[in-house]
Amino acid sequence: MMVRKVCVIGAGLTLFRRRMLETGKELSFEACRMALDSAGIQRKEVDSVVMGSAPDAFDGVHMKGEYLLDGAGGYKRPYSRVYVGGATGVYVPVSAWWHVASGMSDVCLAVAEEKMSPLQPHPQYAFWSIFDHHMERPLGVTLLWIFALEMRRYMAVHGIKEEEIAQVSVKNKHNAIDHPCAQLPAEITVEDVMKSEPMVWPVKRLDVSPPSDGAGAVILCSEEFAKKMTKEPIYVAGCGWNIDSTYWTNRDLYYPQYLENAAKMAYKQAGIANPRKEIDVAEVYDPFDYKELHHMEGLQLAKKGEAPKLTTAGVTQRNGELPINPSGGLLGVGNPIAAAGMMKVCEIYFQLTHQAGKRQVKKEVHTGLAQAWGDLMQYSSVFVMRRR
Amino acid sequence: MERITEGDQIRRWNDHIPLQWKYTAGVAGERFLQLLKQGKIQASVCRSCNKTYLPPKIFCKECFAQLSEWRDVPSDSGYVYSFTAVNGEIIALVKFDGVDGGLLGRLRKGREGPRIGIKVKAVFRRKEDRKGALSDIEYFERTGV
Repeated sequence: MMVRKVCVIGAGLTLFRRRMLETGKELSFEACRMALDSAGIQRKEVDSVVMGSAPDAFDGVHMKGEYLLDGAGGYKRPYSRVYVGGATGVYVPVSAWWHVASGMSDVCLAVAEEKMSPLQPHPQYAFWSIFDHHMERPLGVTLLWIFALEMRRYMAVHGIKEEEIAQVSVKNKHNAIDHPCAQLPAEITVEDVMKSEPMVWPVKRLDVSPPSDGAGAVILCSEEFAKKMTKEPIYVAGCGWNIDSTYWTNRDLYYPQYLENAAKMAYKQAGIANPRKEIDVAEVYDPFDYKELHHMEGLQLAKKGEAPKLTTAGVTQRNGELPINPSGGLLGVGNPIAAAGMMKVCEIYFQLTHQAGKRQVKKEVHTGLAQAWGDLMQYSSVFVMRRR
Repeated sequence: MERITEGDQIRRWNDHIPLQWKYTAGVAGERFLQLLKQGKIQASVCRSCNKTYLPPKIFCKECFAQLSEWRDVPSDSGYVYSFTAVNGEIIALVKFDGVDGGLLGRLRKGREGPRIGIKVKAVFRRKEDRKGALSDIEYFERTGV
């Protein structure tokens, strides 16, 4: 494969909040402005822009990519919006990567925005119509049903307890205390999670991340450009993406095979043979606590059914052997869908450049991974970065 | 593939997507609408690009600077950039001297028909009737020749 080396030279992130005064354009602008400042460049140096945002239904603006473009820095640039549901935030830098890797752009701005607060009575209603109109919708299915069925199946296959899963929420909300953008940082206990309001059994209130407004951005560029800007560029080591069947009734709910495929695609490009040893820190998509465990296994960071044990043993803590979601994740920082995935990419960039402040993991980090999950719960995007 | 000709013989049903939105105007939009309520039109200014944005933005789309400077746009400094007739009403895109962008609004019919280039002013509703919305400008009307 004849591709150029691609680097990441800047990142920006807005506050994540339940309801922001800023419009989606204004949120996008804030994130892009911060990313440009962080890279030390101006918009005139940006050759192309990739924008990511999840359903138009959230903002209540159709053709949201077009609506957001001036805030996203896309004015009079090669500009596109990408959308793969919840996996969008990590797919945006993947798309930006090929803009630069192909030689089409030297500098590509990758920005993800979500403003969920306009949708009434709750952003969840955007998902009403993603289900099959004659096989699923007649039952009144909601997104939470699938999560509940998936969580239950995962627990049953491996004999996992709800309390083990709840540890993830406790860890991530705790980690988020050190994140300046975080919406729901908290010191909670496993008991708090267990006692929280049941939503769709076994999914409880504190197993779930909150809807949010927010935006994030990173700057990707050629190696040549990066070397002009910094002595220690962060390289994009590998990208992967993969999708399973449209029919969730026809998938293995206990194990995300599509994620294994996406991860292996990225690992092959990155030359990673043993991810458990070679990945130093990972931001794994955690809209629900069980998903962090599910995704660790799909990413080959844990064996099937092993992720809860690693969590109990403290391996995934910020000072652990394999820190997972040192940012605080979606459970703690918040879940403005596309922006949440981008938050993870930003966190890995901050970790690799030692800009994570109090969130900096204890061990030395060279290789980090960000992952997101979406579409109809069957898509995964993976982005691996490396410090030379 | 088969075209359906016997519609009554296949199952069909109606369903709907029950969505509603609560929109807000944002940082620039909120300030703009509050000013309209006071009978003022303001635009935001980017000095380095020599741009004046109407509707106002908190950023310059060219250089991406954060914009904090706003200036009055005299409500009688408009001109008709283009217009159309819709359901018996004249809808005009009104631009203002030295301002990038413009406002859409109704153009009050005068004795003479509308023409591109005529000077117009914004006529605001009575103070007590203003809501902090675009409709606070009741219409535009011709100011002279």
